Parts: sequence; structure tokens; C-alpha cells
Amino acid sequence: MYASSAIAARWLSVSDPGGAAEGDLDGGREWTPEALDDEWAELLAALPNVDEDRIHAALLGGVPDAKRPRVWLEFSGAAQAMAARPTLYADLLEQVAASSASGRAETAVHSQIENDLRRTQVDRSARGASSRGERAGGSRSGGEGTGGEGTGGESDESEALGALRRVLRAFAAFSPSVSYVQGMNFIASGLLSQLDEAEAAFWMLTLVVAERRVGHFSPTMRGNAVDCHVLGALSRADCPHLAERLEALDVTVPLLATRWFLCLWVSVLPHASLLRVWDALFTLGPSATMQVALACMRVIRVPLLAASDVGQALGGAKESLRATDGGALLRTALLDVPRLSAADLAAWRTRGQQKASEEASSLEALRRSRARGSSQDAAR
Amino acid sequence: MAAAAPPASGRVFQFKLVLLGDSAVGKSSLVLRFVRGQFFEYQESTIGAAFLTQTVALNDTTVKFEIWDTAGQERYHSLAPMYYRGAAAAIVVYDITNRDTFQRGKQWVKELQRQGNPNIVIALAGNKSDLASKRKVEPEEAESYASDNGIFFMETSAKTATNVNELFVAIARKLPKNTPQPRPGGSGIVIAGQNGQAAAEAKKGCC
Repeated sequence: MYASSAIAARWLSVSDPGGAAEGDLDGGREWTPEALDDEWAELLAALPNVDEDRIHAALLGGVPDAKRPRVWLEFSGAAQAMAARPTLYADLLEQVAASSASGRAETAVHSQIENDLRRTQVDRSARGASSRGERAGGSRSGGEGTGGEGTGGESDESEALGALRRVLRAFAAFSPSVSYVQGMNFIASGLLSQLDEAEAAFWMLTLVVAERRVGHFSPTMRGNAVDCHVLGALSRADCPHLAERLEALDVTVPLLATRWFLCLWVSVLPHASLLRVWDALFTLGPSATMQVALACMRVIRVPLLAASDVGQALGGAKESLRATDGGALLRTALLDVPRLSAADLAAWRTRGQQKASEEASSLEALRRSRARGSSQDAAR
Repeated sequence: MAAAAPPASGRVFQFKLVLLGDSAVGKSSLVLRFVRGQFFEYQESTIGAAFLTQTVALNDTTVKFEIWDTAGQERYHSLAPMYYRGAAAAIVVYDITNRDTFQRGKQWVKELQRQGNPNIVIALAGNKSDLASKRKVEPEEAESYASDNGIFFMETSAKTATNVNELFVAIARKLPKNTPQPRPGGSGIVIAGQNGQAAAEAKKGCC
């Protein structure tokens, strides 16, 4: 049970969404910036044995900008993966450069990546919200010059593009069966906006694709269909009235949530809010993504209920998310929506998997019957 | 914008229209040009799909398009049916400077004819006509493919706005305006002045 006006009131009370919040009105302690900094230092030192409630409390306070890269890397497991295979990233880049040199480079994958480099606009205006600002991951590119992108270094922009290119090409080489999929460009760009090393961004990306977004980028993208079913079911339980309204408007969950899942909210939320959400996604387990998605469903409830057609519904949803404060969203995700254990999520996904398979086979049946129909027409 | 006329007197028809085609051929740019009169050299890649609306005034009727602009990368193919389901019209876009995108466009036409709404109006748009010096697909070839397959063809440039409004107006003219279809699912008819019916339902509490 919740009232949207109460949520709105809480949001209005948060004046500093970007960095360490000064106070928490409910469900959390008040942090001074120093105390918060100390808390994250302690949590980092205590890894992997950290109490989840303690992480929640610290997340609601916020992750200090200066600690964010370490927090993301160490809590997510990317740092450990990177340490276990210290030469892999450089090896992959060499492999990419060698195939470029031998003329096999301009594969479909590489041209897709090239197409998208300049079409990956992580809210540049909002970058100032973070103290790491405009670095965009490019500042160390001199140390990993095997990426093969021209001369490099003429401007921040070309360095940032070069870093993005290297991370995406390395990933495509690392996982040929998944390869490069649109959406990864936005995630990688968001990672590069915070992490000094493109190598670290690469490892975070591998982890997101393999563990946080299972099957979302696979050839059938079934994982996305599954998670949309799960979100639909959880959201229906959370607010049946909203589910009815969505049905009446013919607005399905995938129409709302596909971009959330495939871009992890890049250019959906304001940049400062995005960072708060990523703090939670990378410090907590995969269930956190679903809890954030459920919190987003609550955020967009009011415009959805007020909408009289699809356009109003989707437009209203987009606008309200664009104006969402990250601290308030995290409180909703961590405190208000029902907590989802890893086992719960797995069970929901099994059910979602069934639904997604049923959908896929009914589509296939339709395709076959139409194909039969048209070949009969042709025979006549 | 010529296309964005206020509703003329008479009836308003609402149609669902979907854009399909390979990545980076200019689907979003065509829509943005048509809806907002804007063009960006580097248009952010579309993930999933984007939704916009725009109206076209014909002589005695107004056509309101509900436009679904989809992601073009092959990987997103499995998501496409959810956007073209129930669409009354489709614009299949290719890039005249890239032959592969023309082939991909043909596959989309085939899929729409097999799996789409049986009466769907399909337009084939050869975009980037401003880059004629780099042309890889001749208009005659596309034209003959289009007439063989019962669809219509136009070369467009989202960048210079050439033929963009014309494309949407041509589709608006071809859409049937006499057979009412049920609303849910998209391609239906709306009587002018139907707005606001649901606003009253706005703020019911939940659960």
C-alpha cells in the first residue's frame, strides 16, 4: 500500500540526488559525507562477507563519487575477474588489431559498432553532475594503443569514441556467440563515464551481459521477453489496477521496459539518477535490476493511469522517468517494493520462460499457416 | 510543417504505422523529420522502439499516425512482431548507398506480407537520396521490385526533407477510410472529438 503523493513528497525533499545525500526521511540513517565515506571503505574491506542490509543502508546514503569505481568493480566481481585473467583484455585487442590488419576487419560487427559510436549519447549535459565529469574513460587510452583506431588523442571526443570502440570490439571478440548488440553501446558508454580504465569497463560489461542480463543479448533475446513477463507478473501483484489499465490501453510491459533492461536505464533516467541506480545494480545481486524495474513501474503509475491512449501512456511514462530522482527511486526499489530473493527471481524466470516459449511458438504457428495460405494462393 | 495541419473538418482516422529496416538507414531520422522537422547527423540508436504521433490533413479527412520506430539491428528481429502487430501501414527503409540494406528491406517486406496485418499498406523508402554520388541501388531496380510486390516506392532524404512529408501523405491516401476496425490492436477509426474519455479515470488508488 502506498500513495503516490507521499512518494512525490519524499522526492521533493531530496535536494542532492547526485552525491551523498544529507539525510533520509525514512528507513535510513542520516549520513555525514565522512561517515558515508568511512562506511563504504569498511564495506569494501569486509568483502565478500557483507551484510546485505548494511549495503542497502549505505546505498540509500549514496556512494561517494571518488569511491564509485572501486565499489562497482569490487562488489560486482569485475575486479576479481580482471585479476584472474590479467592479460585477456590486451590479448583481445591484439586479436582485433591483427584481424583488422589482415583485412578481415570490416565485418558486419565492426561496421555495426562504427555506426553506433557517434549515436551513443549518454546525456552529456548531465555529466557535470559527477566529479569525474568529462573524462569518459579516454584519458588512459595511450596505454592500450592496440585498438587500431587512427591516430587518436586529438580531442576528448575522439578519445572517448576510441575507448568505446575498443571496449565493444573486445567484447565482440570475447563472446562471439553474443557479439555486439545495440544497447551495449549505451551501457559501455555509461561505464566509461565513471571508470578510468577502458579495461575495467570491458570487464563490467562482460559481467552485466553474462550475469545481470542473462539471455537479453542472446540471438533470440529471449531473456528480455522473460524478464518482461516477470516484471509484468510482479507489477500486477503490486498494483492490479495498473495492470488492468495497461491492458485497456493495449500497452504491454515490453513496450515500457525493453529499453530499461537492454540499456540499464541509460537515457531513460537523468544521469545522476542513473548512477544511483547502477550503484545498486552493481553492489547487489541480479534481483536488484528487477526491483528497480518494479520501482519504475510505480513511478510511472500516475501518468499511465491518467493516459487515454498509447501515446499519452508512453509519453507520460518517459517524461516521469526523465524527471526521477535517483535517491527516491532507490528507496522505492529497496524499501517499498517486495524484496526479491535470488531464488524468487529464478522461480519467476522459470514461469516467464514458459510464457515466452508459448509466445514464440504461437508466432511461429502463425507464420507457418500464413506461408501455407500464400503458397495455396500462388498455386491457384 | 506541411504535414502537421490541424484537424480539418470531417472525420479523423487513426492508424498504426511501423518503420522497419536495417540499422542506421535513417528510420528514426525520417520520423523525426516528419514529426518535428528536425534532423541530426548522429541520431541516437533506437533500442526496442520509439513511439511518436503526427497527423496528416487530406482534403476532407485527417489521418493521425501512431508511429512505431523500431530498432534495426538484426538481433532485434524477434522483437519486431510486437511492433508491427496490427499495423495498418509499414515503411520499410533502406539506405541507397548500401546494397545490403536493400536486401534486408526485401526480407522485411516478405515478413510483413506473411505475418503482418493482411491488408497492410507497405511503402518502400530508399533513404539518403542526398548521397546520390555514393548510390549503390538504382531507383529503377527498387521501383520494379516494388511494383512486382504490390507495394509503393519513393526515394527520400531525411537530411534535406526531400519526399518525407510526401511519403507519409501518400500512405495516408492509400489507407482505407471506410471499413471500421476495432480499436485494440491499433489500426482503427476514431471519430473526431473523442479525446478525454479516460481522463476521469485518472487517480484511483491502488490495491
